[in-house]
Amino acid sequence: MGWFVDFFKWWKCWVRKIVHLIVCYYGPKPPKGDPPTSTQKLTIEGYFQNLKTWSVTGPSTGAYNCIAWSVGVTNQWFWPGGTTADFDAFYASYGWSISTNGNRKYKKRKVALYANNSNPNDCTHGSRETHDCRWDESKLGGLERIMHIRSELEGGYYGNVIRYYEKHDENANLDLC
Amino acid sequence: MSNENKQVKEKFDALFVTWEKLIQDPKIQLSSRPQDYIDNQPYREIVKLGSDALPFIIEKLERGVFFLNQAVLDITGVNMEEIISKDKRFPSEQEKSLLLIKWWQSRKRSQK
Repeated sequence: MGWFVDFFKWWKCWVRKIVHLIVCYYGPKPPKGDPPTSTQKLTIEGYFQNLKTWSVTGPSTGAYNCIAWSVGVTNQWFWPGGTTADFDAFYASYGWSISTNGNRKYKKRKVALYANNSNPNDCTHGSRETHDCRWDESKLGGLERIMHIRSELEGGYYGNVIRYYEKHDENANLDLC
Repeated sequence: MSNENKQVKEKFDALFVTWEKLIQDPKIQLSSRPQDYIDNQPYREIVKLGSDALPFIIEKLERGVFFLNQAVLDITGVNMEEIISKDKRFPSEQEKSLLLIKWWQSRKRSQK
């Protein structure tokens, strides 16, 4: 019976890998949200020259910001301070630990912390991996929440990713079994 | 309301409208850092109005304009760290507003 359980696990894992390949690499569209309007494209892409593939997943609101969104809060505005040390402590208080890289990880979700000129004392933004297939979601200050490929937000108004955090998520990246 | 207070209110209202318009700029709206919303002339002018403007600023805090937290701190010299409860290490801007409103109310009570 044991061999059957092992075979089933192996089979399930391969099905997940194949589905992931098909869904993620042959459908390069955000899996969630509405296509941006021409005004949204004009405004937002003007500040993020690499942003090409994205959707709008939440309306413009000043009720919460990127850092709140990155820890799953949608009714508060958080800014723990400007340095990575401030953010390390903040994310630790929500159960996120420092991660060595931004690669997808089995049963883990990641948060990326951005800074201007890669300066650890000039943090600007946080985005959270909310969907398999490399998709992050970012709340853009007091503007909309968007779904995007993480790297496409880099090199613009928020600078580049300087730090990653990770947290256990039972349903995350199961294709990496 | 005394004439002097009326004048302060008029100045505050005018500066507030200018400031609110200014922070609608997408370059500011894209930011999550409170300092990007307050590092401008109208905000500094609001702070310059001093303690006479505090009741009007607190009124805005009560309506959810949490970017005015810093104006209260700058005018009163209150240290936010001192009024944050020890178990709340990272209060949100909205929570800071609530603390400042409570602080203001208790100050008013003690002055009576």
